[in-house]
Amino acid sequence: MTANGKNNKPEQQAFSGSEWLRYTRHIQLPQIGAQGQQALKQSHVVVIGCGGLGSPVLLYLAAAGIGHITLVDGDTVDLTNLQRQILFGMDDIAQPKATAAKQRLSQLNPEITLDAVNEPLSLNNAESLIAPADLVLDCTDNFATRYLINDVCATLKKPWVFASIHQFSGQCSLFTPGDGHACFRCLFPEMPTGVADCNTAGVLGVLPGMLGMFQANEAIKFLAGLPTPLNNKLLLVEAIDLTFRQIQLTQSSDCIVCQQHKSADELDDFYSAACASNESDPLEVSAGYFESIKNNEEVLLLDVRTHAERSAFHMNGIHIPLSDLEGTISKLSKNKTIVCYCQSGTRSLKAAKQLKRLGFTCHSLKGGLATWLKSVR
Amino acid sequence: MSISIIYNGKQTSLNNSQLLEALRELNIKNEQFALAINETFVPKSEYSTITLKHNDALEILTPMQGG
Ligand SMILES: [Zn+2]
Repeated sequence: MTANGKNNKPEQQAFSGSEWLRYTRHIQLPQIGAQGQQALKQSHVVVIGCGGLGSPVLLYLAAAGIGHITLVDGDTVDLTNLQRQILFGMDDIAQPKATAAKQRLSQLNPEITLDAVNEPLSLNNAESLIAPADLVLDCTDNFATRYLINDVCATLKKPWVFASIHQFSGQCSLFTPGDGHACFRCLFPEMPTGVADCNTAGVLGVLPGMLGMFQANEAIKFLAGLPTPLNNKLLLVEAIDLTFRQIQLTQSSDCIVCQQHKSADELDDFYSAACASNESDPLEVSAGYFESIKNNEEVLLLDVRTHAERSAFHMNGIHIPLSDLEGTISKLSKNKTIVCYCQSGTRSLKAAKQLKRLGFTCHSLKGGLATWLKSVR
Repeated sequence: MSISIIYNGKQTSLNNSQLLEALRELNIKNEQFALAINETFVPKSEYSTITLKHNDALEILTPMQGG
């Protein structure tokens, strides 16, 4: 309203009366105030995983008045979840977690918008789900999804809060891609294999509660513009002896995500390796066969990875990134057998198929360098 | 030259101060770990350049996937 009262429209208010009451204890904090609470209300957060970490994260973010929360989980509630996944009760068993969580949270805070996505994060939906987010919370229980979050957030420059747990131990960090800081792949470049999950290793029920609350704490501070000390630091929590330590992180100079954004092909390659099928294409050769022919006169090794990958390690021969292959193909000689290789065998198979169509004699190293390196060691 | 470091919280004596040699001596073969010296993360690409000093705190961080 103008001072002379000519405009009769009600003055724009940041909060309704009920919101104002609900968030009073936040607004009273000088570090948050009405402005910080307004920032939370304007925020869109995507929480990936509605289990042990997701439960406390979602309860506190919804209670705190984050205006828009997307819940992503493809799982259903199981009796063994109730030991730690405090969002759920007996009535929720066999229900989809995201929908059940949405119901619980809408009772807690009807002022906010909640979207339930009852499917796991995947290559197909990751970009579209993460693109609208101001912040992503990684509450997943497996490495493949965690690396997917890291890589998509790096591409889209989305900040994300990581946590993971094992038995009595936990880790937590805030990654902010694009600022020169470390990413998850700087820390653990290769996706670990043979590491136990909660289902097999057991986990102390309060542990995801502790770590989830550290995640929610960093998330709320980040969105309200307060200091976030876990940015570029890794928090290590030991619940048995109750110690809390922080490790200073630094970007790795050969991180394939930080040093050069991964192409869609590489992502494809990486995740198909994570869930590789055992079916073979006739163009594929085994690591053992590859080892026996790679030095033959009539064999030309063709590395189809990116320049960054090539510079980290290669096996001589020639290098044409898959994306450049089409324009360069005419320069290749048909007198030699071309053996394509990449990290996991997906891109090299694409390249080999492309070459075969044009009349080349060619093969693709099945399982890629990853498999060959393991087999020759 | 033998040196004494703190390995995962325990005072440990090593014959090698070169980090890569020290890892071998500590029998750390699994590659699925991250490493911190004095609470600062060291990327894998730098291992070959690092010489441990007396009383350095060397820490092996294992990835965990639970949630
Ligand atoms: Zn990185």
